[in-house]
Amino acid sequence: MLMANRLAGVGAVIILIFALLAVAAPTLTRWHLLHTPDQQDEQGLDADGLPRPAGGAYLAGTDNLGRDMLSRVVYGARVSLPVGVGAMLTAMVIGVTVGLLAGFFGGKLDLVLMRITEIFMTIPAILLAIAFAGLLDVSGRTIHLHPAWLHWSWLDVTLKRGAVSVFFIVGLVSWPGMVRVVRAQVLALKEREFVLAARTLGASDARIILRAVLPNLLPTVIVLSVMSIANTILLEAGLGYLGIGVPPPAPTWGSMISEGQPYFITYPHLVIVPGLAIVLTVLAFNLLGQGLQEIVNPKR
Amino acid sequence: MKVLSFLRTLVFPGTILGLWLLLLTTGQSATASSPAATSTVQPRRGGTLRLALPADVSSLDPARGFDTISFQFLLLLYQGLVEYGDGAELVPALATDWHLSTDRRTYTFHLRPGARFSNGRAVVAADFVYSMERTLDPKIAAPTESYFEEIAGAPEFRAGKTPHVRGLRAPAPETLEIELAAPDPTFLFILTLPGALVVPQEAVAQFGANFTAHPVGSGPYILTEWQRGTVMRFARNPLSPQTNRQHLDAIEVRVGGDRTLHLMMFEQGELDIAEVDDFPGIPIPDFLRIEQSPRWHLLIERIPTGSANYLSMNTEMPPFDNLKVRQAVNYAINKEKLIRLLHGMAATAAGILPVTMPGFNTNLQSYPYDPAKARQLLAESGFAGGLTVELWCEVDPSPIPASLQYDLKQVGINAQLNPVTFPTLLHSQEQRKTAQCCTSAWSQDYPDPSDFLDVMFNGNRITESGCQNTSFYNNPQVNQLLAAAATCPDPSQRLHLYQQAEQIIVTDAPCVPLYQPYSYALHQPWVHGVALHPVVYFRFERMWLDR
Repeated sequence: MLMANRLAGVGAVIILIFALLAVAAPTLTRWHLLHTPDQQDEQGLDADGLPRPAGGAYLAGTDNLGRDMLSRVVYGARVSLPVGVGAMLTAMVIGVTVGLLAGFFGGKLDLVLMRITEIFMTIPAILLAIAFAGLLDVSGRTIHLHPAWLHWSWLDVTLKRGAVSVFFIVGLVSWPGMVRVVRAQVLALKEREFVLAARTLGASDARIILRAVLPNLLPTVIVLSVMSIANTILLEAGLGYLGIGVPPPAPTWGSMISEGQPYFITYPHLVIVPGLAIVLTVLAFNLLGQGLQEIVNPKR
Repeated sequence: MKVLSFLRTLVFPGTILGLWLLLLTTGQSATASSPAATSTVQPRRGGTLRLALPADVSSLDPARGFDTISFQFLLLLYQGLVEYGDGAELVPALATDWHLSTDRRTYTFHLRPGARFSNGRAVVAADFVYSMERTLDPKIAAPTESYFEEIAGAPEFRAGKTPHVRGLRAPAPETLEIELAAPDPTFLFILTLPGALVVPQEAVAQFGANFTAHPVGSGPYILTEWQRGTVMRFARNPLSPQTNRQHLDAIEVRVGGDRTLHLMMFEQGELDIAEVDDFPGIPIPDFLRIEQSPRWHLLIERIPTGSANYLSMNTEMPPFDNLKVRQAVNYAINKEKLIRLLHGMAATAAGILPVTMPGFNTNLQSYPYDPAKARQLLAESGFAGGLTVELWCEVDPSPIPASLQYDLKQVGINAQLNPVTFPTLLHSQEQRKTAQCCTSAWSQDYPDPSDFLDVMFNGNRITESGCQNTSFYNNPQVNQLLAAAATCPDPSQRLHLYQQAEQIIVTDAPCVPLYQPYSYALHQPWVHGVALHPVVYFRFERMWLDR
């Protein structure tokens, strides 16, 4: 457990460093400690128009447009981290709600909700995300959440391609895993004495869910959420790599890898630098999640 | 034909939609021939030329194959009436001579006696009538079909009203008449397209849709083996009299593998030409390494292509309905930077026409890179506070859209990139009032300015969708000049009219001409005759080996 906690600490420190850098990035740029991520420098490319390797004026080298890689990775954290966390929150809200309802009420509701969840689980998340992302364009697309014959414009949602829509999409495809765990926990919890006691005292379902079940679910949900951030960041990177994530010139780690790919053999830093950022954050969230799990559930 | 991806233009132009035809006017010898290619040694007979392709050619049936790769292999197997000489000039192939009637509508060709198909039968004029009718047949859906619709009676034939095309006649076995609905100075170029290559009716009847696997033509080579996805082999056609095009015993094309593998095989001497489908076909950084290596740098052929890349602005949509905004965008783009980003594998473009095109105007008044002037023009048109536009481009790791976006940002234009898939980009830019501005490219079908100016800037050709005039540019004066040029019998007067039209178009700035890519070929020192042809590109039948 001590070991796990130490690892969790490492994870937390890595996340903290990335988060601090992400928050401080504009200030660092203002103090000339960091280049502007979109600045296409004349000096950023050599005579053949090729990227500069790491070192010198550009600590992590430049990309194929002569932009500073270090600055792009740091600014990329401003996309990847919030999108990862936002997507996790979206997934958590959906996953906990569905899992709670299915587990607590059981019966036909459970049957229906779980079958829907399973349908979502059978489709690979990235495929589903691509399908959602394909619906969007930069000028925005209005999605009508009402039948065509009802002119309820308040149910029209306009989604633009950008960070918000990406975390929405990633969240929308990441929830099914959470449902199963939450449901299993709820099934166990609702047979526990304190729940039975509350029921005997005449508490309503809503009160039992909110006051007895949910607080006891929290540790599990927190662990699951932290670990799922690792997945949502990966998914966001995947979408960015495929060119359907946050649109350029905003730097995202996934799109940086995709832009650098043709240069992989000769200028590996174009792929390695953003790749390292992804690996480190994903690892950090996994370590933190596992550490938290040890704390929450020391027996395992 | 349409070429879209900026990277693809360097790497794989023309393969999406059309035949990649390049052009070099006979007067301009712009080919950068390496010493190995200009060897004066007598050609040697024998040997097998080893090539590789990432995938099978689409078709070896001339009615069906119409892309860069297929075309190069079709020319091994088939011949037409005319063909390209060493440059973009046309020389006799199966026709010995031809003459044009006084109304400039009817061509009479005399066929070369003694020409035979590889099945032994003599080629007669009726075979050409059959072959072109086959191209026009709606059931075949030949990609080159539209080029032949100008033959008199072709629309009626396509509508099923007549069993034969009225304008295609064979009055004698060695005489062929082709009558056009209206005079067209570019018609002889159309006769070089795959749809005009001659095939024997009996062989097509025998193999039907599978003719592609059993091709019969009168070309210098025959197909001996085609294992799909594995290998394709060609051997000398014993019945062909063209001994000067049969130096090679055989041509072997290995199918499969990617560019990295092909380059590795090439560097180990297992292939004679690094890539035949792509330009340069190998990853750019690898190409630069090869270009700078003493072992290979003399074995690279380079040629300017008959294609160009543009930033199209939709003149029907604000803010690009404003001339000053369009001109500001022209001043704002740093084309020299684009060339650096493309590692020098393209030349900057000032006008619409590629440098290789007849009528290319060296005195064209265009726009230098001048961001201050751009800002001034924007301020004059009421956009001093900046403006936001949507720039459609292809989902592609190309640095070009990001560079355009950056240049525009410097003058106060916030261009939001809208990266979409290639078919979506194509569909959207050809749709009226859809894409505000977009990256676009065009590659010649044949070496004539009409193939650029008339196709892309004739206001009379604007349609609601599928419109090649992606700027939806409509200037009556330009339309008039284009109409006059289309039927002008005097070649130099005709080019002059096209130059006038081009200057007006450039001044009206419906697009920013960005760059014109080069094509490359990398070959082993023992391969000769590789010199890239300005239109056809690789001509394997003219190569020979000395090892």
